[in-house]
Amino acid sequence: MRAEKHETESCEHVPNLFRLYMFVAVALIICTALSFVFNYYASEDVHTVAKTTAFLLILGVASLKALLVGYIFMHLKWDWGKLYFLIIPVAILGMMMIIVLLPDALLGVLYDAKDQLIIAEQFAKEMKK
Amino acid sequence: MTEHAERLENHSEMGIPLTSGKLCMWLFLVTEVMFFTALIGTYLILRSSIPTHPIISWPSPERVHLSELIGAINTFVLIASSLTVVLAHHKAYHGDPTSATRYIGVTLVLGLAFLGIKTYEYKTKFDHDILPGRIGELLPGMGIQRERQMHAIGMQYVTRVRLQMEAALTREQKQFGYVHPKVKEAIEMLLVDMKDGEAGDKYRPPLSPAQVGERVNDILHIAHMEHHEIRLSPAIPYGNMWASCYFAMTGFHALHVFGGLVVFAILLLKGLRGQLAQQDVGQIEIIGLYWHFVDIVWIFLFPLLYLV
Repeated sequence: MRAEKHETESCEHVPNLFRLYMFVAVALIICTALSFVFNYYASEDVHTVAKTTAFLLILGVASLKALLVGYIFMHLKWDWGKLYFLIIPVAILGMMMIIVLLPDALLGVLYDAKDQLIIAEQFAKEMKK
Repeated sequence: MTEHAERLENHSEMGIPLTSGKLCMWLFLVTEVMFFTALIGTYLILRSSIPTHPIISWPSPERVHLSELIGAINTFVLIASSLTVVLAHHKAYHGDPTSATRYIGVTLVLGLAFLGIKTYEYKTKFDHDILPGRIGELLPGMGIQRERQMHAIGMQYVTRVRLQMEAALTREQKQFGYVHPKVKEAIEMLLVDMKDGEAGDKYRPPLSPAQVGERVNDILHIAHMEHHEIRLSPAIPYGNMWASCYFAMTGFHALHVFGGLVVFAILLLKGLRGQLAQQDVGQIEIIGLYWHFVDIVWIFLFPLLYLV
């Protein structure tokens, strides 16, 4: 019971919490609009931003949105000290999972895809003849 | 105080100052993080292993009938529902169960809206036959080696498309007594070209799966220009892999949304009966944590599937 009181008090005593929630919601909508802007500038019609750059920017915006939701809506701003021992290991493991699989992707790009491109180019040349 | 009682008192001071419910939810969420990281990570790896080439590339959202606007609306809906959950918790904590019930109701409606939009999106995939295992993988210019590798799957595609075209002509004729002349002409020409025959005094081989795929895409383009609905499996290189990833990721996410909605429905019923009490504040916070996590997953799925 003591623990329950302690944890619910951790964020709800904060003044202007309602306003903070509204601010975060607006920030999330602005971030979504920003993703669209990056996507627009990377589209084939405009193409002023490289697709890879836009992809990284959009993922960056998504990470920022996730941080905002986690930090304010999930109360990590106030509960981080009680939960970091759960979140840090899973964040490391999540990143490791992708890193461990990366060599496959890189090898795929280096070998299989390159071969396919060479074959496709050869085929295109044959078609021209 | 006896030694035993003192030990018990000290024991109660130990541990994390969190309710067991909230701790359990966080433990559950970290397992969910690993689950969705595996799904999204696999998607990224599959996607990055496909070269960027005019013919051989990862399917663009337009190619697979995925509307960015629909994705954006769903993003907005989930963000709004996340806001209403925290507001429900805020109101419940400050002793206003009526407002809390109202916000839970709004969250439920927004969650249902999300699933409704997702259902509509799935329907468009079924209508265009963009389903795992049904999409043509070959187009001309992809290379002899790939055509050889995919020949068996290509022939299955050719058989399926032939049956679809024959069925479409019969069905359209029966239902409407009319098939658009341009579409009908293109289908009939393709059906003839799919069989081997004679061209002058020479043997004419049947079209290859890649050539059939290209002609089917042309028919779909004609039908689209003439506003004529026709169900034919399109040819989209790596389309099957895309469809598998899309349905796996959005399907599991939608299941999570549904799970959350069940709990919100229970809380709403409790609120409507006037049974939402101070001790339910913790429950609202716990389901809120789950709901925000579902929102975070969508925050990553939306750009990865609908944008670049």
